[in-house]
Amino acid sequence: MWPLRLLAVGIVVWLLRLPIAWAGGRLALAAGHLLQRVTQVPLLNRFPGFQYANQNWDIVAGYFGVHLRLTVESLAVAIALAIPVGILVHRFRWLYIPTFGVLDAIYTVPSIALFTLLLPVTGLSDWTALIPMIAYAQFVLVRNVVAGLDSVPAEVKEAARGMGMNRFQILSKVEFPLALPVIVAGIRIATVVTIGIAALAALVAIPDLGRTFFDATTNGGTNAFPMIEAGAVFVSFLAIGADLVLRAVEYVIPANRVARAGSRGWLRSLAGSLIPSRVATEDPVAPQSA
Amino acid sequence: MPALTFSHVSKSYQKAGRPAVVDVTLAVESGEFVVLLGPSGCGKTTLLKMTNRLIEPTSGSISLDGTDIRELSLTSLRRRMGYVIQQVGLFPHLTVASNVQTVPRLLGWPKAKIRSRSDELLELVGLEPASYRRRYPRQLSGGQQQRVGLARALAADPAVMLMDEPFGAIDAITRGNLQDQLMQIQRRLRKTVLFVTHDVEEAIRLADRLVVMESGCVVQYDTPFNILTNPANDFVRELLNTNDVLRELSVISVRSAMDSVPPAAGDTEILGTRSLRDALSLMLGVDRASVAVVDEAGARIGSITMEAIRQAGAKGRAERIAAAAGSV
Repeated sequence: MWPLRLLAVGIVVWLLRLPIAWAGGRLALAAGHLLQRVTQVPLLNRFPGFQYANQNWDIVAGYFGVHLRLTVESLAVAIALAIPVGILVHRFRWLYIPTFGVLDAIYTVPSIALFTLLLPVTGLSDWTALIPMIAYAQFVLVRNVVAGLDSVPAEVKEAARGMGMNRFQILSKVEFPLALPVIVAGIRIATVVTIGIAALAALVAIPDLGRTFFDATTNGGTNAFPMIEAGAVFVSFLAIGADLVLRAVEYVIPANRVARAGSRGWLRSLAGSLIPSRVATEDPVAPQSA
Repeated sequence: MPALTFSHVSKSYQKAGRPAVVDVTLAVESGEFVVLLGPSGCGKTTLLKMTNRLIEPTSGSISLDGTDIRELSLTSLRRRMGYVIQQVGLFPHLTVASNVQTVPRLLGWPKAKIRSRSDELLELVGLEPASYRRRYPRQLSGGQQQRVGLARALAADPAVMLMDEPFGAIDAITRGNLQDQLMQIQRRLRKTVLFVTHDVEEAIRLADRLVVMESGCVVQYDTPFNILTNPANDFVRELLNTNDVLRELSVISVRSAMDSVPPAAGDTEILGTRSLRDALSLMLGVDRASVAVVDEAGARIGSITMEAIRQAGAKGRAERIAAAAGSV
């Protein structure tokens, strides 16, 4: 059963964390070198942004790494929070209004304000950036967890109950697998939103890709525009890359695989999944950025 | 020991004006096919759902093989009963085979046994395992989906089957096929079945015994033939249209009214398990006064004549007249 398997995988990962970290570090270095090569590609190396990045690769790569790390950390916490909260809101409907009232209020506050408001509380640590990022992601994630669980047909749940599955089995074997496409779509949207917001964390002295804007204004000089271009390009790079990776994940989810079963060819299905379509899988609210 | 016993079972909902089920006492014998029949809102589905505790009775008790069902844990009770619903409720993210294997997996059967059992059941419901095993519910028609639903309910070989208007959402042609299949399966497996429907034809066709319900009460509980010849009140009379002789003929099997002298070769044939109504229809269609009767293997076992049908009709009429005279 997948919860037990997941737990087993988690334990193994925890036990092997040091070798995994080492391997991860080497992988990151290799990826970094590869990325640097990309900036040197004939057409791209005409852009001043890429030239700057190539010449100052350790700085840009450093910012990129921090940006990525913050995104992953905040999303991990956000997802771990959103799933239980989503399950509770789905089960106890009266929680819907209070929960979304709070989350919506947080989402409405401009991210810049959230970062600076936390300064007196958490100082110049990572948490000043992480807390607003997590809070923003909640709005998208909880909404999609609830919507996903709501989309499970009632007769399927009744059949599951009638054949003797207990509450947990119904949740893990029936509701969750069927809700997963909508939940993963939510994770994808939340990831892109979070990457955008993280750029503003430079305001609270986080050395991520947003820092390039500040470097440019403070002591850029002739390098000002290339610095900004480099920052902008790599942030977009990260966002689009994450979006594509998560769309690929969405593509292979069992419930989605079933929806494609026996229908048109794999190429048309793939193309179809890359084109933004229904509201439920796309964010109707424009993501906050600056 | 009856397989299922209902003892003064009642159910009222707080906000409703009248109770859903009122003081029902019934015994269902093992291997019996009992149909709960009645108009919408008569409590038949509520009664069914109290059997697997999807709804809890307000008062009274239900026993399975002598044990009060409240003494059993919910999950173990439900895993001992097959449950088939109108909207089927197949798991869309699982293959047909995985759907059928649900309860055996919950019970922890060995893998090989689970696989062979699901193939066996798919064959039983008329779906060829090799081609249907790997399909998804989305790729099946309504009738095929409900066959899978039936296979899924039978998977763990439950003693009791609970069926809530399983063929209600299916087109009339396919419904007939599914009813035939169900009767065939029941002849082989002899499960104890509680079947809810509001379709009178279906009820009469499938039932060993019929429970006619109205406004939460059981009005009559007897074989279809007895109910048709001795309806308890006007409600039953009107619901089942008991004055219709053809309907009465539909519950008498050819086998029970035939002469055991098989005719010479060359006559039209009819299966012994079919009803006198079908025999009459056949005889009128081919314009003959008698047809040969065959068993399931195709061997001739007797013949049925128009005269025999006429006598069966007359007997019923006599009984109805006597009953009417007795009540005056």
